[in-house]
This record gives sequence, structure tokens and C-alpha cells, in this order.
Amino acid sequence: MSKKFVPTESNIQKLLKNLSADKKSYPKDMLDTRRAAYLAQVTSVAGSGLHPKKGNGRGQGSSPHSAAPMTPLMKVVLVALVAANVALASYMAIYAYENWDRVQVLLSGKPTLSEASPVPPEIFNQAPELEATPEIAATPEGTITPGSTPAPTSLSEGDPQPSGNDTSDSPQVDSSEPDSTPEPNGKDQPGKHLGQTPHGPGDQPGQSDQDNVQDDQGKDKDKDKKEK
Amino acid sequence: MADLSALLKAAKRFDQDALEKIFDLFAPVIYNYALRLCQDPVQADQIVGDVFSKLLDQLNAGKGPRTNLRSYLYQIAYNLFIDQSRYSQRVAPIEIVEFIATNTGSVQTEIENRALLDTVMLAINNKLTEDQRHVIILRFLEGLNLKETAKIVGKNTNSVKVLQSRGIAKLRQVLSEI
Repeated sequence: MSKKFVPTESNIQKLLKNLSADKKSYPKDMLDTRRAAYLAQVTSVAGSGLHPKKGNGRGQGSSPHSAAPMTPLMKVVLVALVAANVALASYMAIYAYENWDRVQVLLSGKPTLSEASPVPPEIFNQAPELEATPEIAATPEGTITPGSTPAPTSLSEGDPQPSGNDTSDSPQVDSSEPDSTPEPNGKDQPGKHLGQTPHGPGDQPGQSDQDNVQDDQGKDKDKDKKEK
Repeated sequence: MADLSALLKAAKRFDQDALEKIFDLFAPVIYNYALRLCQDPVQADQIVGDVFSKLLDQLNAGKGPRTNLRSYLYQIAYNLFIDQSRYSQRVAPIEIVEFIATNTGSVQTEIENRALLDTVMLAINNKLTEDQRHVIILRFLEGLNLKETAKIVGKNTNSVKVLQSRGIAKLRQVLSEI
């Protein structure tokens, strides 16, 4: 046949088609090994759950990251959440507009003049000690002997120290020197801070110790009359 | 054809039976094609494995063939062979050519025809250019049409026609010299 073969185009095409029928078989061991590996890969990919689901024809379901369809309840909840967020944002914007100075302070971190304390720190710290003095609250009525009684703690208080004769219906009063607020460093300088009795006429200009005692006695008498 | 479309749709849903059927249906075909290209059974087997592995990857990514699964698998095999041949510019060893020559026996073919077929096969592998060889193999040995062949080799149909006619002319010249 090869001697009679004329290499025309049609003959070559027929020869090639005969050649196409000549197929080699896949070696069985190779095929089995390859098939097992392929099925293992199919199982691993299908078992991982990463394969894409069937789409809805609009290209949305072809991606593995496509989302599930929303139910009407989910839509309502989503709309409500969006509305709540918008309302909250509007409220915060209005509040910030009305209190812009505070917002600026918050942003800058510096205090304003209104927030600063009007009282100097040292006076503010000593004032509660004056109010908490126990002699002021428990001062009984009585007469004061200027020579024997100690000096009053404060001019503004006006409570006299009880005398030694009038001890029947009044609580016992310590006859010792009344306490005054000590100096923090231990150096007691009379008249240099609040809560301490001035000792000289120069400390309280225009008013002497005698005048103070007489004023206190008069006030006490008025108070007794009112009580009776 | 309708069965192949249904099979492809099931494979896109990662139906394991469909994927198994696809392998059983196309693995021997792709092996034959790869063996004709590379003339190495081991390399052909590796190409088969790579082809189906890539098919699974494409299906997993939501891609893959839309209509023609057969042409798609041929295209993957062709691209894999081209990539491998770019890295290894090799010539088929004599043993492999002898393997092909000794294993192409068919009951129906005569001895003279057998010798002629072997001569044509050698001419296809050694005398034709790469593009001509691919077109001849795909068009006549694998039985693909012009459109499928053009898609696989990445050329238009006119170029495939030209490559086909030039390849046949070259084979004619070789066979006339015998």
C-alpha cells in the first residue's frame, strides 16, 4: 500500500484520520493512582465547604463570598437601626453646635475660666477647719471673766467661754487654752492665719479684747431672754 | 451534548458523581492528547493530573467552562504542555519514539499501513513547526473543529486554516520523498 500511496491532500487527511483511531490506552496503574488522587482532591474541596453555591442567574451567586438573601424582618430591623443611627448622629451634632465651647475644651483638653476655682487654694483648704471647731458648736451659755478666761477663738463667733461658777446646768468645759489651727510646719504664728485669736490691738484695728468680751456677753443675754 | 451540559452544571455544584464521571470520560482522551504532544507517558500522566486539578480549582473559584467542557480540558492540557516545553527545550528520546512505534499496533491495520502511520507520526513530531503540529493533532487526530482548535491554540480560525494547510503540505512533501 505504501508503494501505491499518492501523497495528495485528501489522502493525507484520510491517513491522519486513520492515525486518530490509533489510540494508546491509559496504563491501568497510572489511571488508578491518578483517579484516587483526583477523588481525594474532590472530597477535600467539597468537604471544606468552600465551593460556590449555585447562583440566581444574575452573577450574584457565582462568588463564594455571596450573601444569603434578606428576609423582610431583617430588612425592617436594618431600616430601624439605620434610623436610630441617624437620630443619634443628629442629636450629637445639635448638642455639639449648641455647646461648641465645651466641645472645644474637650478637644483641646484645657479648662475654661468658668471651670477654674474662684477661691484661692489656701483659703479654701482652711475654711472647713473653722466650721469644724468643736468649741463653736458646744459653747454653753455663761459669763466670761476677762482676766481668768482664755481669749475667744474667733471674733466672728461670739460664743463666750463658760465661767467656773455656772457649772450646774451646763456641760463641762475645758478650761485650758482653746485650740487654734496650728501651722502646718509647726511654727505657730498668731494672727497670721485664720482660726487663731489675735493677741494684740494691732492685729484687730478698731476693736480691743475688752470690747469683744462685752459684745459677746450682751449677745448671750439676749439669747437667754429669747429662750425664756 | 445535553448530557455534557447537565454534567457540567452538576460539576459546578460540586456534585461528586458528576466530577467522577467527568474524569472517567475525559482522562483517557486527555492522556492520549498529552502523549501525542510530549511523547512521554509519565509526563502525559502528570499533565492529566494537572488538568483535572486545575479544573477543580476553577470550579471552586466559581469559574470554569461555560459550555464546552471537552474543549476547555484540551485547552488546559495544551497550555500546560506549552509551559513545560518552554522550560525544557528537549527532543523526544529515541526510546520514546520506539515506544510509540511499538505500541501503536492495531488489529485492523496492516503492516504497511503501520509503517506509513509511523512515518507520518514521526513527520508530525519532527518536521512540522509547533503551531502546525498542534493544529494537525487537534484537527485530525483529536477530531476537534476549527473553532475549538482556534480557541485552544489561541488563534483565529483563519490562522488555523493557514497552519493546517501548511502542515499538510509539509507532510505531503515528506511522504513524497519516501
